[in-house]
Amino acid sequence: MKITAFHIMNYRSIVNSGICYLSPDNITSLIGQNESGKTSVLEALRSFYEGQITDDVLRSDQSFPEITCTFLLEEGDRLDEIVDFRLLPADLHEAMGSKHEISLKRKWTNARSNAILIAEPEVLAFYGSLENKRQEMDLRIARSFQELVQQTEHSARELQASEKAVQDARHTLNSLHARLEDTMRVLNKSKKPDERIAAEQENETIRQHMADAESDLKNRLGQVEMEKAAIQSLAEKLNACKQFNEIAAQLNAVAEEAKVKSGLILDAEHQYELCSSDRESRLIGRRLEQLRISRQQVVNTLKDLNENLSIKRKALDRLLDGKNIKDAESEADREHEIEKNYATIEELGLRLFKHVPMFEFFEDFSSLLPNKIDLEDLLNENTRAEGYKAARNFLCVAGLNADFFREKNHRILKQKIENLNSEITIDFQDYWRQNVGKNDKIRINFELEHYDYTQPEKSGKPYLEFWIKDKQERLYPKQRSRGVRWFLSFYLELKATAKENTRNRVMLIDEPGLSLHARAQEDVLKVFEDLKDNLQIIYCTHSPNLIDIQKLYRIMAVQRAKDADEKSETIVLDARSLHEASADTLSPIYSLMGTRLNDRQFIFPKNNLIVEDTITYYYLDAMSRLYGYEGLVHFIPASGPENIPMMANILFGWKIDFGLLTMDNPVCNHVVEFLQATTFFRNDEAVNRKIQSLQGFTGIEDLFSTIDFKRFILQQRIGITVKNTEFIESNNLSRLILATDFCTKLQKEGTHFNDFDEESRRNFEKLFQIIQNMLEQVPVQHSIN
Amino acid sequence: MKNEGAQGPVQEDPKHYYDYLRQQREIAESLKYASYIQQALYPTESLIARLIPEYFIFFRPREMVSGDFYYVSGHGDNIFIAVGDCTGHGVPGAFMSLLGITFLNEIISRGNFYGAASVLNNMREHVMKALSQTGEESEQKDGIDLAVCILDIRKNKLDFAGAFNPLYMIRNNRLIEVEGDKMPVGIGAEEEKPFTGHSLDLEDNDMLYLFTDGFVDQFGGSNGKKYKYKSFRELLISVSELPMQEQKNRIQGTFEAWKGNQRQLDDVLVCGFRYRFAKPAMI
Repeated sequence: MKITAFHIMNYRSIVNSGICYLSPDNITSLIGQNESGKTSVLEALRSFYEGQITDDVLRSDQSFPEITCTFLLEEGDRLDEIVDFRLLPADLHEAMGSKHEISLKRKWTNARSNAILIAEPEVLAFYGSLENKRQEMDLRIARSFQELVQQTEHSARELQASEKAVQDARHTLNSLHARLEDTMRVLNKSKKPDERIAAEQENETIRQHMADAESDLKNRLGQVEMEKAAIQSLAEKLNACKQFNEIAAQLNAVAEEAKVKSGLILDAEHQYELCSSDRESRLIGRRLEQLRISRQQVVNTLKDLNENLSIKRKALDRLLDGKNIKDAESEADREHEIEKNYATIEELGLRLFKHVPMFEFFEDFSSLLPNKIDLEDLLNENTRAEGYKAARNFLCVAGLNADFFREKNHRILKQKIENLNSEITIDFQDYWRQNVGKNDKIRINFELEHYDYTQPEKSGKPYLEFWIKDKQERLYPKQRSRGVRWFLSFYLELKATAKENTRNRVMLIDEPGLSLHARAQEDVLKVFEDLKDNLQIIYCTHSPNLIDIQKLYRIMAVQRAKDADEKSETIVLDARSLHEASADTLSPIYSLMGTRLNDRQFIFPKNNLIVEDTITYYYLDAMSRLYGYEGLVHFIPASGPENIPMMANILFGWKIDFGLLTMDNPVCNHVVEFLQATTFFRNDEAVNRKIQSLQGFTGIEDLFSTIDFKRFILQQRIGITVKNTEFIESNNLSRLILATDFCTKLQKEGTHFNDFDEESRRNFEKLFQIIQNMLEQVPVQHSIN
Repeated sequence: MKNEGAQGPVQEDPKHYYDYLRQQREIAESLKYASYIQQALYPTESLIARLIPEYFIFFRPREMVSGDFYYVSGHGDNIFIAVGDCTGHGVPGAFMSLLGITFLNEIISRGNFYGAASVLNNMREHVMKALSQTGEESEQKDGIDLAVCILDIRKNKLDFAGAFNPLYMIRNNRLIEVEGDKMPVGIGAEEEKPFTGHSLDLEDNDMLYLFTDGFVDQFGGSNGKKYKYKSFRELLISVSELPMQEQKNRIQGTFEAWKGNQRQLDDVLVCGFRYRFAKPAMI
């Protein structure tokens, strides 16, 4: 993978850099005044990779850094293999499968903890929707819990009332029953017909009341049963809610515990780094180990609780929808089984992160070549040994490993070292072009020596000794000038980094070559150029010598939002928006160009149109007059298509608005592709409008019909069956002479646009329409004339 | 050789006479073979029928090979029809017609033209180049009279351009003449100008006729006069409603009757096409 863009938020003075695109050719230069925030950009990128920030990085508004980097998948990077699409929901397979770039974000949640996560919009949207759903469910559960409590209380009251009503109904029925028995006794005893009739009537009335009372009792009993069932259902839901809340509370507590443990571990790690003795290291190391085990246990519990809570949530949601508890639970289990296979955005982020390039910060001092280093330190990777890194780089560049030094034959070993010294020197001299005196070039040497009796504790042990020699002197690196030492270390570091081709690398360099002569600074650029295929380089500079004037697409300007206010936030402007940068920020570019072109008024601030050569300029100028082109356009001829990028760079650097009109031929098409990939960057609509290629027309002469070409340009009657440009080429004709003859003829004969045939007119009308759209100008009547 | 003259070798010299006869036979065989080659370059009946099912071609070369030619091809929604008459007849005409068909094929298959006029412009460049014509007075002024039609069967449009040759379209018994430009495909007296394109809307059942001047210039009839365009237009109007084969028979019959015993003056070519709106499925 290769980094193509970054987006930094809340990092020192950078509040929001916006998306900044890096140069596609792997070398990006950050320019800007002191205190503008250039180093912050480099450090932010380093923090992205290393996941560490210092307290001074944090902003006073307590917002934590978020750094997003976008990476281009290169040949051989199979996203489906890196991510394993089985870990992704099926809905995301298509979107992810078509990705050519992938963005990762490192987000800090406090000063000490952060997470790396995938920052692709589709993935975030999907996981966001899951999270929204979860939050909605939690909200529903919380609301339902309150309602359920109220409903249960209400139902309990109603049940109580209903049970009382049942009791009353039973009592009424019993009374009626007693009355019926009384009336029956009266009836049995009564002899008089009148009394009997009255008793029978009463009896009948009581029976009717009893029937009513029985029916009432039955209804009320039914009511009670229903209310009991309702309470039962409410109780189930309430119980589920309670369980959910309990697990949620437990989860919060465990999460808090995990946080505390993480804090303790970070403290212990910090202490471990500061340990001054082995004993202390061992002690803290053991404590660290215990803390890690303990945190792992907490994390495991947290994971279990999370899973449990997720199932409960899903089941409860269904229960609240009215499903019975059994169905709700089994459906929730099934859904959870599917979802638990999905990787989280953090897990996806981590998987991808393992494949991003390694970011390395070139640090001058730790990388300086020492005078000597014990071989033991080198082979045992003792990083604390002085100059370890530079010495290791040296061995890497020389292609040496431990086996090399196991050679028993001293003579052979010496010979090998001598050969290597000469190879390294030749390579180094390719880059370091300065001489000592007139012709004396410095040479790099290393030698394998052994300690003698003067250092009894190391006596007999091998060490490597480094020399930088010229014809006059043999000096240790430390005896050489700071510039030579810096350049040598820089050369070794970059060469070694580029050589370790296990994984792509991004080298971050803060102000390289500060102590170098201007020529040596140009040599630094040469090293960059030579290594750019193997590593990406992002560096800050103030020096014009470290900027290639022909490649301004590499520039990224860093400045304060308010020019004079060092406390205002930092803004980063990539090559596409470089014209928005202040003059002070762009001063290294101005130094290179010597003057501001648009101040001199020979190129105008707007409506400039680069065309490939003077010949094209002649035809366009003449035809635009004949056509009566109503817009404002200034044709700027480049001296051949190969010089278009330089012309574009110059206008670009000077904030001059311009478009580019090219013909459809391989050289021009290559130039357009190059400019789209570099100066103008990606294919957005606005950019495409500024670069237009006249499809189907190899040269400007092809815009004329064959008849008009013969009549106005060639001024000959001859059969032409090929394109006009092909005819010119195959007959070895001078385009310049033809163009001059054409202009002369037009002038002499007072030609009008309508004297050209329909085909030519149509082609030129189309062309001027294209120009009009490109420049988006307010029409000005015959301004060309 | 002294006996050779306008009458050929005298029969009294048997050797020369036999040589003469052998040469005549060889020339005749060559011409016969050349005529096969020329025929092979014309579009086949099946190709034309596939593109325009209702058509006829009345082709009567004066000799075994002809300077007149016809061309039909289809590209996407377009059908190209061309009828040409090259300078001269017989062998020289045939050579020119071969060039004409080849150039047409090349231009149309490349597809870099904007319409019938553009085809003619391109053709002229090819002919001028092939014959190295640069406008010098001493050079050959050979060329082709050519009519080109492009039928757009989706839009039911016709694009026509002619180098001398016109197009006749008969719609509802009314003849519409679209004239060609008065310049040949080849070098002309004046500097080259673009040919004029004519665009027409087609209607179902329109009859289109393209032809060379062989028929109208034929002497004959009771007074031995040319047949002329007026009579030819009347003839076409009179047959335009008839089926294709019947039209061809009538035109052929009229020509034979007009010519009578007169010698055929030039190659004769008349092509007729009935335009039908394409059925939706065919488009």
